[in-house]
Amino acid sequence: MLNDRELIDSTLRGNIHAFRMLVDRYQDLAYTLALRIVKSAEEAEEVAQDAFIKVHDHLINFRGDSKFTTWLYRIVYTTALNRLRKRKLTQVSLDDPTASYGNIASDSSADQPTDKISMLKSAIAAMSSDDSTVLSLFYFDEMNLQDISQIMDIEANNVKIKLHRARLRLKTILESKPGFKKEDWL
Amino acid sequence: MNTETEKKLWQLAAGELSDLQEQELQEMLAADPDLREKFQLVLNLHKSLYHSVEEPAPVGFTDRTITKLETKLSARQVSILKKFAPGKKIIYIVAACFLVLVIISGLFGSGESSPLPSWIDPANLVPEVNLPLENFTLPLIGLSAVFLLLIIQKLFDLRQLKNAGDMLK
Repeated sequence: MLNDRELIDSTLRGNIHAFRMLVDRYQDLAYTLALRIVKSAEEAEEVAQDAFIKVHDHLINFRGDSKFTTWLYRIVYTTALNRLRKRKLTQVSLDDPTASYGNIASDSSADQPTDKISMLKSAIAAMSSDDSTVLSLFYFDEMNLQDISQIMDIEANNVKIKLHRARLRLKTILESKPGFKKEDWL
Repeated sequence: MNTETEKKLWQLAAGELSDLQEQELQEMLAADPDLREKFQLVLNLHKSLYHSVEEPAPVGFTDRTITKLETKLSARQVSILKKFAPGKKIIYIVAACFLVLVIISGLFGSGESSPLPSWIDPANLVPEVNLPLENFTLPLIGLSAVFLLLIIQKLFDLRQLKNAGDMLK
């Protein structure tokens, strides 16, 4: 299997199939990150697609100083934030806990997942963009704090704080869900 | 349980504590069953998160992305081509040059000298002077052909651009 660098070089030589392989390889990561920020499946797909097109357009500028995934996530992250700005949703602070908790009520009333994974997914979806982004980057791709700080353009120490807050909020959200049973998690 | 302790529970689950901090917390856990229960909850949450944060991209995502990319690339190529597309004025100028050259070639290229009347002594004739235009007949025809090819090519380019534009609509 070709590695990222080989696929990038091949894409730069005009091989669209090489780029297709890159998209195929990282589509879930890009889509997940976009979804965590824009909170809408349709928009998340558009954001992820636009991000991949930007990646293709600027691939020549990728020097390989950082991991390809870090560079890709940074583009997905900024594209998604720009989309949010366009929607004027940033009027609500991303760190505002009431924003995330405000979603829980509507979410929990809509459907009440019973299995643990569905419950967690539902809780993550109810979190603010910032919180769910940090969690997704940390747990999905197992990125280190330094990588996450590059993607979100914040200090590594702030990432650590955000990650900690996000974990606590997640637990609070989860425990407040109607279907939550503590014994299931012990 | 205060926030600081809960933070440490998460850090212990993620293996982010130093040896000393871990030892301290393990002692607290050994002494406090409630804290142990809370740690178990945090540990399970931590493990489950690795399987919960991923949202698979919709089916056909790659195909749709590549199609979108190819459409954008084509649109970009057409806009570049349009920048350098031949204007209609150029085609008219080239066509006009072609017509002028054809007319000149027709006027001067086909003239043949008629036979001399018998009463004229050829020796008395002034030596024939070749008109320069007659000498250029062949090059003029060649040049006309080049202009004709240019017109055809320009028209072909315009048609290709129109087709490409129609395809993108």
